[in-house]
Amino acid sequence: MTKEIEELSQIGDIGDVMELNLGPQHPSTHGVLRIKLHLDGEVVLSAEPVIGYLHTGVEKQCETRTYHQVFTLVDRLDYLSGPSEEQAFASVVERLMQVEVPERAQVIRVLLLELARIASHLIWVGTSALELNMSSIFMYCFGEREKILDLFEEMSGARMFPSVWRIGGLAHDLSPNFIANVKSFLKDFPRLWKDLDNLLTQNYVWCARTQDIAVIDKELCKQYMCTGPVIRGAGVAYDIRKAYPYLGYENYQFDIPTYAEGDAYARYMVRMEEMLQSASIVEQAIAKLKPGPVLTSDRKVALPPRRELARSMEAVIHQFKLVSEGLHPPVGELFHAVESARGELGYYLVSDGSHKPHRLRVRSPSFPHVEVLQKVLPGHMLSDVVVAIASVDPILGDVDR
Amino acid sequence: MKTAEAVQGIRAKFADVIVSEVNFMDETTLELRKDSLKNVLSYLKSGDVGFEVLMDLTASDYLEPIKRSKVVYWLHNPTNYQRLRISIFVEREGLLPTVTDLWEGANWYERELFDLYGVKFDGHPDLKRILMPDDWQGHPLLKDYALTEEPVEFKHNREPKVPSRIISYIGMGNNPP
Repeated sequence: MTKEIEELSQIGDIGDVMELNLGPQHPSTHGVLRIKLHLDGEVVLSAEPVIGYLHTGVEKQCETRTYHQVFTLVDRLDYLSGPSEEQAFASVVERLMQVEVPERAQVIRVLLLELARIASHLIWVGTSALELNMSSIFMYCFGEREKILDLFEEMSGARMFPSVWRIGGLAHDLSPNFIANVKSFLKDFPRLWKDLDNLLTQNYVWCARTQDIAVIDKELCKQYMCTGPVIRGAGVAYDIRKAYPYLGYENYQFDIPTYAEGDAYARYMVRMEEMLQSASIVEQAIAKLKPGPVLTSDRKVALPPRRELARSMEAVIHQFKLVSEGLHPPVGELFHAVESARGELGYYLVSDGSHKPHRLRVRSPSFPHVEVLQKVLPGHMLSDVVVAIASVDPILGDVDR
Repeated sequence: MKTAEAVQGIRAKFADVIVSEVNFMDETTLELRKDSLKNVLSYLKSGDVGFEVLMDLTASDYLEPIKRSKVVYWLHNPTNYQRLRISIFVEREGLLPTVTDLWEGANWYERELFDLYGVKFDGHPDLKRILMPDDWQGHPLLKDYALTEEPVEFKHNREPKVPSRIISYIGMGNNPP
């Protein structure tokens, strides 16, 4: 509760309290999020986020699917950066089965993941600006994101969810023109980034509406398990790519942008700089790309190539076992996290040795970020609630699972 | 403090609270006795031990040897990035002490466990369903909760579809839960 409200309540000046439901069908709640607000005039007295409108029982469904089928389920959770969900699931299974992912597959994965991060942050900037009535920025961002979706389409045939992840590598190699197209995207991207920077960073309206709004400080981050841009906006340089490197991220040069203020503006600055860092990682990944296989040669894990099937009985057996039954990771429990566009995305896998996960838990980064809203919203004006929700960038598919 | 040191610290400070210790692929899992959970967690969170963040709180369910759920606390040390998993078995509709006084953010995680597993938390400020509708019967992530389909509202002049059982679980016979 802020100072003004305390003062108000002390002099008994709080008038009639109005209860207002923001959402679940409200364009600025980024999905189907309902927030139960108690208002005194335009000042928020208390806020209670209500979730569950997008609950699809994915964790339950995963327990009844084979490991290969899970990919299709999980990348719909965080629908703005599907590749990071796929990577999180693939890496936990690969770590449990101790599968070596070929070098080229790792580099391509990094490339796709960072492109997806740029696309996700672009949507975030666009929609946040739209909520503050800047619709042209929304158009610029979607136009640029469209180019990334075109790249995904060229690579895999699917625009939002490439679904090329397989356990032990990728489904297929890059298409011939892919790298040239990525290079031309990277050439154009800084110009758009500069445009966004010019339009927003010093923009009086943008600064006035985001600075000192929804302050989430270091201590609150610890209490509420906040990660990703939220914790980096509070001045903590915590990034899974540096803390627990995966896919060889330790070999890439990049910085973790941090800002100490902890407000919506700090999170905006963090995301803007992350886009540049991601673009630089993509460039480095292109430089690292060497010819080679993109799928492990371990036949107990990955399907044999088509040409082997006509000659080798063993290949046919492996093919039959993998297709009809799936793979059998050893008994054990593991947690593996990746840095998605929103924060620490962790998968906790309990395997009982069968071909289906005994338990697959998705530790979604957005879940605590929605929870923390009830702590930061009281004391703000109603119009700032929209900014506060946008600033933590929740994806409700990921929150409700 | 590193994970191994923290485990040593627990052994030194609390007598006979660790049921088992498993080290699997660089991850340490401690299974604790139920009555000691709160003390051990507050010790781990305290300043010099430093496992200050509850990164995840979840559970997994078992039918064998008895029907019970394993609640898992996944602790994170923000200074040296060490992690430690605390697990604790709880019977159906069992009661655990809440950790919302240690971590405010555990509030929703405990509500989720109550919703999906039926684990109750003693002292939780507002224990109610979070993901499923308020009037939902049963706890969906339990292993003996069958995967069903919802009857379709649009009948199209046909008989309404009843929930059919897609997956049958071992030892359940024909009786739905």
